[in-house]
Amino acid sequence: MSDHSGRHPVQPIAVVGGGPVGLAAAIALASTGENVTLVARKVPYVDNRTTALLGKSIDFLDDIGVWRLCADKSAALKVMRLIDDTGRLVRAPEVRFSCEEIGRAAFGYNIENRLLIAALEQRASECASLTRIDDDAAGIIPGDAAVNVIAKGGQQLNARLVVGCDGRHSLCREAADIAVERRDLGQTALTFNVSHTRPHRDTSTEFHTPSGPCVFVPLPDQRCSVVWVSRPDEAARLSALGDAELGRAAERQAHSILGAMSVEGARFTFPLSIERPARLAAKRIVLAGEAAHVIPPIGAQGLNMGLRDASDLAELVAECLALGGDPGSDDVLAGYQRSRGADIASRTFAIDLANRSLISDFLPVQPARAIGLGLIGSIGPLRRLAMREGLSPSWRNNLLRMM
Amino acid sequence: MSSSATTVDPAEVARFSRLSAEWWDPAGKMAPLHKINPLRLTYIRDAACRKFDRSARSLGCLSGLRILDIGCGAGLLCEPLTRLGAQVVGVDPSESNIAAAKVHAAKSELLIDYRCTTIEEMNRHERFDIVLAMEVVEHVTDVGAFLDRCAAMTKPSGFMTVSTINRTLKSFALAIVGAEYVLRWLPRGTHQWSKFVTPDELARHLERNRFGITDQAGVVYSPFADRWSVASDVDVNYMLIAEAV
Ligand SMILES: Cc1cc2nc3c(=O)[nH]c(=O)nc-3n(C[C@H](O)[C@H](O)[C@H](O)COP(=O)(O)OP(=O)(O)OC[C@H]3O[C@@H](n4cnc5c(N)ncnc54)[C@H](O)[C@@H]3O)c2cc1C
Repeated sequence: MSDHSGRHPVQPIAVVGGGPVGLAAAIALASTGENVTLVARKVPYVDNRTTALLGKSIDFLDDIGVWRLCADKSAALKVMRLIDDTGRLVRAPEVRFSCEEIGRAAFGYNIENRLLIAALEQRASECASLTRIDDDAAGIIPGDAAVNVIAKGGQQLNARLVVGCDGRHSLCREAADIAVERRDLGQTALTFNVSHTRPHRDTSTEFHTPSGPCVFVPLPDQRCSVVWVSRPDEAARLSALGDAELGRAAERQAHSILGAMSVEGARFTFPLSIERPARLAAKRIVLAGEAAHVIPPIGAQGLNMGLRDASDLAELVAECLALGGDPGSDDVLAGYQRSRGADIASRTFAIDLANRSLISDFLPVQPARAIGLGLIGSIGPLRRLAMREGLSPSWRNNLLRMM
Repeated sequence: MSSSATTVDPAEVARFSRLSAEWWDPAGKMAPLHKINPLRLTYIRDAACRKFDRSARSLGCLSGLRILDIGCGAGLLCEPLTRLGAQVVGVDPSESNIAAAKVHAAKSELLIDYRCTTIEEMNRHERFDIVLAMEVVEHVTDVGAFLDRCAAMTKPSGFMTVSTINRTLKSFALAIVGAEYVLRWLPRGTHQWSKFVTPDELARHLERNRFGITDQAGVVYSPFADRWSVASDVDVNYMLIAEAV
C-alpha cells in the first residue's frame, strides 16, 4: 500500500461531502475538540426536498447547536394518517396516529432541506476546530497509516479517518473498495410544495396508491410539501403539467382534504432505487448518509438514518480520542459497523418490503397489508409501539413488517 | 514506509513491520491485550487526572506529564498516552519489540522515546510523574529490587501504576490453565504461578520505599460478553496506584 503521510501533515479526521449528513457529521466530530477538515464545495442547495425530522434527529441537531438556528422555520407533525387509496378489493382501514398517544409534543418537524442546510452551514462556520476546503475531492487514496485526500484544485491532506458523506456515487466508497448492490425500483418521486386553502392541522397524510405513496407533509403556514411516487412515465406527465393543472391533480389525489392547492416554485423528480453497500467501513474510511444507504422515501427514514450515522460515529470517535486512540483504527471501524449495521440493514429491508406490498398486485399481499394496518390502527398498545418505534430504532420489526 | 535511511537492512525493516502489525492487530495474537487496553488506559488516565487536577474530558489531558512505561512491547500504551499529551519513555528488554514500536510510532507520527533497556540499567537519576509497571512484576526475578527502582524514579508528586496477577488458586485456574491451556490466548509457559505476586507482598515492598497503595481495582473477564471490566474482585488480575506517603 502506498503511504503518503510523509509529504503532507496528517490530520486526525476529514469529512468528504457537504450535504446534510456531511455537515452534521463534521460539526458533531469537531465538537469533540479534535481538528476536523471538511472537504466540500459550498454550493446553493438546488432542489425543493423537505425532511421530516423524527425523534432522535431533533435531539441530535439540538446537541450540536443546529436546531436553535432553524426550529422556527419548521412545522410540527402531530398527527400522521395513512390512507389506503389503492382501490383494491381488500382495503386497509385508515390509520391515524396522534403524538398525544405517546406523550410527545410532536412526532417530528418538517423543514425544507435548503433551510436545514443553511443552519448547518452557519453552525459549521462557527466551529473553531472545523476547517473547510471549499472544493470537491478528486482522489482518495487509502494508506496504511492515513488516507490521502486530493482536492480537485490540487490541495491535499492526509487523514487518519475519512468520513465519506459524498452521496450516491461515493468516491470514498469506491476508494475503500466497498461493493454496492443497487436496484432501480422503476418508480420516480415527484416533489413540489403547495399552499392550500384549508389548514393542515399539523397532520401529515400519506395516500397509498397502486403506483406508490403520495404524501402531504405540513410546512409552516398553510403549506405542505408533496412527495408523489409513481411510475416514471406518470411522474414525467405530472411534472410537465402547468401549475394550475398540477395543483388540481394534487387536490384530486388528496381528496380535497386540504382544499384547493397552488403549486409554489419548481418541481423535481427523483428516480428511486435501493442501494446497499457490502459494508460500512474499510481502510480508514467510514460511510455515512446516502453513501451508506439509499432507500425510497417511505416513512421519512433516509436522512433520519444519516443523522444517526453521524451521531453514532461522533460518539465512537469521542470515546476513542478520550483514550488517546487513533480515530481511523480498526476498533473504531468495527464499532461503527456494529452500531450502524443492523439498523441500516433492517430499515432498508422494511422500507423495501413496505414499498413492495404497496405496489404489489398480488392479491394475498393485499389482505395481509389491510389486516396489518387495521390491527395497528385499532389496538392501542400496538399503535403506541409502532409510533414510538417509528421515531427511533426498530420500527422495522413492527409497523412495517405488518404492512 | 518510504524510509530514506540507507543504512537499514530492508529485510530487517520488513520483519519489524510484520511484528509491529502483529502487535497492533486487534484481532490477532495480541487480541486479549487490545481488549484489556481501554480499561488500563482509563484507569491510568483517570488516576492522572485526579492526581494532577485535569479534566479527563479535555483532549490532551495528560499534557506535560512525563511517563515511563516499563515493558512497553510495541507501544500499545505509549501511543495513546502520547496522543493524550504525555511525554512517554517506553522501555523493553526485547530489541525486536522496540524496533516494532518505533516502526509503528513513525507511522502514527508520534514522538516517543523508545529504549531497549531495563529499568535496572536506566540512569537512576531520571524522574517521572508516572511510572507504569503493567504486567511486568510477574516476570521479574526480584520483585523487591524492581519496585525499589520504580519508586526511586517516581517523582514525589507523582504515582506508580502496577498491574499484575494475584497468587491465588483462582488465578492458577484462570490465568494458567484457562488463558494458556484452554483459551490459548497466551503461549504455554508465559506465566509461572509461583512468580505471581499478592497485593500484600506489593504493599510491603512499596512501604519500604514509603509508598502507599491509594487505589486498588480488580480486573475481571466475563466470557459470555467477551469483555473485561473493573471490579472489586482482586483474586486474579488487579491494578493499583501507589503514591509517596
Ligand atoms: C423525494 C425525497 C424525499 C425525501 N424525504 C425525506 C424525509 O422526509 N426524511 C428523511 O429523513 N429523508 C428523506 N429523504 C432522504 C434524504 O433526502 C437523503 O437521505 C439525504 O438528502 C442524504 O443526504 P447526504 O448528505 O447523505 O447526501 P447528499 O445530500 O446527496 O449529499 C452528498 C454531498 O456530497 C457532495 N459530493 C459528492 N461527491 C463529492 C466529492 N467527490 N467531493 C466532495 N463532495 C462531494 C455532493 O455535492 C453533495 O453535496 C428523501 C429523499 C427523496 C429523494
